[in-house]
Formats: sequence, C-alpha cells, structure tokens
Amino acid sequence: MKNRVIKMLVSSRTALGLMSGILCYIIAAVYLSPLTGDGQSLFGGWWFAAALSWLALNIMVCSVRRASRLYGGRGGGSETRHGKRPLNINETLTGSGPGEIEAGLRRKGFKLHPVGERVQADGEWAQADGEWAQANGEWLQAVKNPFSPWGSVVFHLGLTVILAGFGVSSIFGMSGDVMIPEGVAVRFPDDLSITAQGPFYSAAEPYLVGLREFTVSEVDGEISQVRGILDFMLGDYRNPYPTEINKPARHDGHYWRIKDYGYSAHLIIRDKSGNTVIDDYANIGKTGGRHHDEFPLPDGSSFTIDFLEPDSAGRAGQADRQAGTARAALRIVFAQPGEAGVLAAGTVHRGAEGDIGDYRVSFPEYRYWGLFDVSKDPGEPLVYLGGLMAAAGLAWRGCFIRKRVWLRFAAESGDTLVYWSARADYFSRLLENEVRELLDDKGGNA
Amino acid sequence: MSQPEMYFFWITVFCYVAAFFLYLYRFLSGSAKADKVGTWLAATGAAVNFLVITARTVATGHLPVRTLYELNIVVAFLAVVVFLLARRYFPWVSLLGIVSVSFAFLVMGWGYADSTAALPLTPAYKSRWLAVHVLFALTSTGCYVLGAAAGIFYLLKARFVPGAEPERYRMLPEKEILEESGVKFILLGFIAGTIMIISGSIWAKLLWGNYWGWDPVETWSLVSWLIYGIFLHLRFIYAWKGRKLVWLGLGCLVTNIISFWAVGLVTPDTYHTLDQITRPIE
Repeated sequence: MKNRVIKMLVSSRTALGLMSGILCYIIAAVYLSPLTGDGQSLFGGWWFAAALSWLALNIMVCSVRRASRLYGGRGGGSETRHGKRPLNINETLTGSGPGEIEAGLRRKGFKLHPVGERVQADGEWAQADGEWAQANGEWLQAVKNPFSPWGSVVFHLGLTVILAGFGVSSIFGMSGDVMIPEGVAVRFPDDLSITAQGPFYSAAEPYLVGLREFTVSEVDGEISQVRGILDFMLGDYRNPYPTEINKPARHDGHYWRIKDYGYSAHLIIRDKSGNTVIDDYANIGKTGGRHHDEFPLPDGSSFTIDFLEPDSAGRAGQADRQAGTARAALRIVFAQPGEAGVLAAGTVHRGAEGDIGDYRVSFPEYRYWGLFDVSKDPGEPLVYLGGLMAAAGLAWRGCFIRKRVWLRFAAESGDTLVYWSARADYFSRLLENEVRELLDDKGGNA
Repeated sequence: MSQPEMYFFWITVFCYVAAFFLYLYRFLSGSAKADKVGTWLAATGAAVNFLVITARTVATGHLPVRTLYELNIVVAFLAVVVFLLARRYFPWVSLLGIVSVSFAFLVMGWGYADSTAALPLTPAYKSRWLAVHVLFALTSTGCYVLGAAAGIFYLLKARFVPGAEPERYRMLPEKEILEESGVKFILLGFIAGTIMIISGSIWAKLLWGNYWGWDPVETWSLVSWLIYGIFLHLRFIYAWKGRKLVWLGLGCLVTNIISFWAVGLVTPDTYHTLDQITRPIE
C-alpha cells in the first residue's frame, strides 16, 4: 500500500496531472490578477511553491528511474506505449543486393550488427526479442542515435536543476535596494532596504559603496544607455566597477543592478532676512512618470519640486551638465498645509537664483541619483547549468531520434527479398517511408 | 521605411501571395507545375524578405525586433524558411505552404498596417541575449504554424474513408504521416521555444533582477510552453493520436499566438515592450 502511494506520487501520470493543474491555475491567475490588483501574490503562495517542488521531485524521480533503466539496458522498449507493439514485418522485393542496402544504411548514419550481438545502450531489444530473432533466422539490426533516450533524461534533470537553483537562491540569497546619489557612499549592508532574504543568508564584511559617476546618454532625444561607476571601498582600497543596463556590477557575490534613476538638485533656500533655510541636495523621486517630489520646510509648510529636464540637443551626462545653453530648471511650489494651499510658485534655472514668494531660491547644480537593485543569487550556477542541460538534452533527443531497422535477406529469382521492420522512438511511419525509399521497392511489398 | 525596403517589401508580398495561389491551385487541380513555380516563388519571396530585414537593420542600426512591423517581417521570413526546409525533406509538404505562406503575407500586411515607423532601441534592448531570445521565439512560431498546417490537412483528409477521398486529397500522404510530420514540426518548435524561455529568463535576471516576473507575456509564453509540453507527453508517453491530438495541437497554437501578439494588444501595461528603462518599481 505504502509503495503504491509512493509510486502514484512520483509517476509520470502524476507529473502530467501536476503540469495540467499548474497550467490551469496560471491561466486562471491571468484573469484574476486584474481583480486582485497584485499578480505577484497569486504566484507567491506557499502551496504554489509546494506544487512546483512536487513537480520537480516527480520529474527527478522519473528521470532517475528512466536513467537506471537505460543504464541497465531495459529502457528502450518502454519509451512509448506504441513502442511496446510487436514488430510489424514487411517484405520488399528489391533489385539492390544486401551489400548495397547495408551500405545505404551506413551512409544514412546507421550502424549494423547481427541481432544476437548485444548493442551498447540498445541491448534491451536484442535481449527481449532474442527468441523472436532466433526463431526467424539471421537478422541484422541497424541502429542510429542509440544514446538519444539519454537526451530526455538530461532535459528533465536540467529542469530540476533549474528549480533547485531557484531553491538555493531563495534559501541562501537575498535581494534589496538602495538609493545612492552621485558622489555619495552608502554602507553595505546596513543602508540596504531588504525586500527578500533567505534564512541562511550571511552578509559579507561591511563595506562602503559609492556612486562615483552616473551618466544618461541620449541619441535624438531618446535615452540610449544609462551607466554608472560604483566604487566598492574596503578600508582605503577602492574597486571601481562600471555598470549599465543589462550589465550589472558584481562584487563579493552580490549583483548591483541599475533599477531606476532620478535627479538630485542642489538647492539653497533663504528667507526674507537672509537666513539659510535649506542648503542641501534634494533627491527628487518620480511620481506618475515625472520627476516630482515633496519636501518639508522647518516651519511646518512644504514645497514641491518638478525637475524640468534640459533639452540636451544630443549632449549627454556630464558634458550636458557642463554645457551652458540648454539648462535644467526646477519648478517650485511652496504650500501651506490645510486650506491655505499654494503660497507661491516659480521656476529657477540651473546656475540662477530667483524670488519665489517669501523665499530666495538658488539652484547652483544638480546630479543624478541611482536606485540599485542588490541581490545575491548563489543558485545562479545551477540555473545556468540546468538551462544548458535542458536545451542540450531536448535538442539531442528531438533532433537525433533513435531509429532501429531489422533486416533479413533472401535471394528471390535474381533479386533480393528483404524482410524488414523499422521502429523509431518517435515518428516510426516516417522512418518506414525512409526505409522503403532506400530499399528501391520493386512492388513486392507484402 | 526606406525606398529600397519598401520595394523589397512589396516584392516579398507579391511573391508570397502568388505562391499561395499557386499552392492552392496545386491542391485543387493537382498541377505539378504550379507546385514547382509556387516553391520557386516562395523561395524568391524568402530571399527578398531577407533583403527587407537587411534594409531595415541598416536603416535602424539594430536587429528589426523593436516594433510589430519589424517582428512580423522576421517571423514571416522564418515561417517560410522553416516551410522550405521541411519541403526539402518531405516534398508533399508544399501543400502546407497554403497555410505557412499565407500566414507570412498576412502578418507582414498586419505589421505594415500597424506602423512602419522606426523606433530606437531603448537601453533595455541592448543585450547580447536579444538575438537568441527573439530569433528562437520566432522560429518556434514558424514551426508551430507548420505543425498546425499539417494538422489542418489531417482533419481535412480524415473526413473521408481511406481510398474514397477526392482526387486532390490523394496528393497528401497517409493520415499517419501527416500526423507524425505535424508532431515533428511541433517538437522542433518546442525545442526552439525552450531555448527562447531559458534565454529570456537569463536576460530578465540581468535586466530586472529576477529570472521570472509573471508579466503577462512571460506568463503566456509559459502557458504555451507547458501546453505544448503536455501535448508532446500525451503523444509520446500516452500514445495519443488522431483527431483529438490534432485539435489539441491547434489549441496549443492559439496560446502561442496570444503570447506572441495578443498579450501586447490586450495588456498595454506589460513591461515586455521594454519601452521603460527598467521594470516598474513595485
């Protein structure tokens, strides 16, 4: 009973059921996600992870069982249901002699052996059907791609290795993000906002990470690339790492990937009496696709900033910021909480100053800030290995299908009467056609 | 659209449309000459289609995979190339050109009607994985279309008792051969689709920090891959055959079409368009 339950849990039928169940749930979730407003949560449940884990376990057990059958020379005949059918013997009268037919098969990549001889990785047929062969005289077996069934094992194991990689990353890895203004350094890992952390994640020795330089290149007014140079500082030693979109920096097992960027404006605000209220960089966030943010003032009021990007006219990054003609500007709105609402509004260009309401506002310069996604992904080698195994295994299995042809020759009034049977792991009818063409059929097919 | 590209585009469309009618004529009349000329036209169309792709690449400075028009001229090319390669091995496959070649000029026309304006590549596109991911995705679609075409002809032929079918259906091979060929094209498409998903995941990790994000396009690609996987298991492990398998194969193609074209149309908030620098911050 116990064995039957275990067998049921890890059978290929269960795998197919699980695949179908997961498929149905994914399709349902596609339509449910607009209702819940959070598509991620539908796939983040423990039971979804459990179903995937079960599928992975199932695939692994099926693959190992299949591998052990193949290794023991028992896996070939049971590859498919139709593989269990008895051999269908055809008779073809042909003008070609046995030597020509054998040469033709060899040209097509087949290797020929007497049936009684055990063929490596394909001995199961010779073993299982040995009696049949003995009863029917001297037969030749032509085999092509005998190791092809291993491709299926490699493919399925590759899938489980990928899932294992995800598992390792979720247990030992982490992900988080940190905003770093240009020219500023943050402490790793203390300044990070951790979004996910595995139970066995261990942080490295603390170190400083500075954003030395950040550039946004444009071509014809469109952003063409975003780059940054990160300094990883341990003591007095600096390791500069360039990074750009699609090319994260990697340091000490952690990826640092540009996730977003914005502007950091140096703002000096003085009141009527000339006292400095603010003299600092304002890191302007993004709201609704605009560079827009709100900041408090010491007196309890607040002001909003809209960063008006410069008309770069083909210039980019640092070069643009040093150019004088197309200047960035800040639209600033001072507001009082409650009904008083907007007190004053105005625009200040970079390098200029102006009066806005009761304040004198100066905007000497600006720089970028970068939001970096930081992640440790110790399962990555497994994911890459699994991906390679899955792609190679499937291509191996699908493009180099195992084909077997059994032949016996008899002389028939100057021609050759060939008794033959052909079987491929997949697409046996196509193979039969191929063999018929090779035998140069003289219409004696019985 | 540059002048040479426009000329090449219309020559391609003309060749494909003419090849389609010749294949149709071949099917209706049995004319061997129509088959030969049709194949010659389809091959010429594919060669000129390649020139369309080249002209576009030269004009934009990047692989033509940015807009619907660009994707469609590439998928049309690959669908016809897959068809012509299959025809080399199985001459009867030329009748499947009725579906594959018409698919090619229809998607080209759709892309043309949408917009031929060139768009620059956003930084998100600038990855070495772009070519691998997109070309295998489009190749898998080309194979699936050919597999579906074999399925359609299977269903047409299966309406008749073997030997009692009208003359034109005798040009087709036996039903079993049609079915096996269809499954073979689908298997090749599945291989390409697997490489597409794996390369896409690796690219997503570099670009967005996650291998998988359940974006609508990703989700539908997975749905399509899973359903084709189930299809192949049913065929190879459980020996499914005949009409039910063919209908399942046609249903699978619907999921592929959704993942490739329809998701972008019905879900404009997908980040798979790669218009944004990075994935929206949750």
